[in-house]
Amino acid sequence: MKDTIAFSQFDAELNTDSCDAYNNAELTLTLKLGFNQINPAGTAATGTHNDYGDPSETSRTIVRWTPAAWTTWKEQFRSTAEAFWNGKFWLVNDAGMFSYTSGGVVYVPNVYCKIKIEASDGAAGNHHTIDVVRMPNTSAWFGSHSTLYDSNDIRRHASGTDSRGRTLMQRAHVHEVGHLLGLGHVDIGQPHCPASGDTNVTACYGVSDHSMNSVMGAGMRLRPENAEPWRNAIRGFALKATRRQGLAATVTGSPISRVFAFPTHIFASWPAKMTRHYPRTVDEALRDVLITSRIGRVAA
Amino acid sequence: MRQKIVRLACTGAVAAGLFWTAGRIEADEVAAQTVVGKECAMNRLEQSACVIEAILTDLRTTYRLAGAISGIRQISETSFTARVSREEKVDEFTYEFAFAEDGAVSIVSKVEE
Repeated sequence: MKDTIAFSQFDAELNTDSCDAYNNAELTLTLKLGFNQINPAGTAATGTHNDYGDPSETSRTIVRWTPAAWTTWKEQFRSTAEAFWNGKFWLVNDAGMFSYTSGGVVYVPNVYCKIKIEASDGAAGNHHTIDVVRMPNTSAWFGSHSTLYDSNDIRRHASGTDSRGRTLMQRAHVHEVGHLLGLGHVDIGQPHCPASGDTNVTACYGVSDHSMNSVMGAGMRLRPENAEPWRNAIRGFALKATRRQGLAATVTGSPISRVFAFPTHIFASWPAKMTRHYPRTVDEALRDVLITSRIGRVAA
Repeated sequence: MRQKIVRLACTGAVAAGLFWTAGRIEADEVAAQTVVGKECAMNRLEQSACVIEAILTDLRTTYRLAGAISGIRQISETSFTARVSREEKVDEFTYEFAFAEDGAVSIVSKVEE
């Protein structure tokens, strides 16, 4: 079965057709991005644009997009960001939901987290719209932000320095896709970066080397906490499934049975893992045994 | 030739940062939160240059993201702001300085806006 939910930041699809003794349910977030070219004025080949799109900030040289350069850039953005975020997390199903039978055995699937990024022109039908300037060379710098990128944002660049003076490298667009998925900076919620304050100050990118190396800091490291968009989505599907079950209970059950029809999702946390976790039998799930290697199962 | 002491009273991170820059600064000077700056005479131009050098030293040693200094501006007799442009935003730091009679300048506070 495939179920979908449209969130404001992305669309989500939960596919349980993939489930068997070894394969989990698949949760795919689809991020629809609309890009707009920012070109020099008139028909000029080169021009200027100000950092952050703010006329009071530094003016930088930009060049006109060609159709080929535009197509190539969009595809590089799409493919590299998708490759970075796709298939990196598994959510452990501690709700006991979405069970299925394979080879006569009832399994509880975990959730394999996937992403699909669609890059098109313009704003129509997209979750996010982003302007893009083209830089004259690969080393040029431009002050970009969440809705204004530059062509070099897909390249690796020095993004910070750790406590030992080592340079941290990051590809800005994978960090920005994290924001588009709803993730904030790595140290939000810490005393030096309260969630109620400005969460873009330098300390929010991490104070410790561990934090700074995070993709939502100044580095490229994915961490289990970066699976939060998928966890939020699966909670949505769990709630939806529970409502369906509750609706069924209205036909056959008492009011109290509707309330307690399938309450397990309320207490489930769907912990994120960064190694493959295979589907569990009901007994394994009840004993909270994690299956991280391929073990003998009854063939379907 | 007399060398002027530029006192960086912003302790902790600055002191650690100065120590981290290694080689140019003696440990006992770090402990006293001072650093030998370039010679600067007791006149407004040289004193403002010392202020800017103190800010540059502080940014070099404490600013850990990749940014470029896009401005240092005096906003009051004792306050200066430094702007650092980086991905996503401009970071702005306001420094409060104390000026000694011998011309030495000290950072007494630093706030990220």
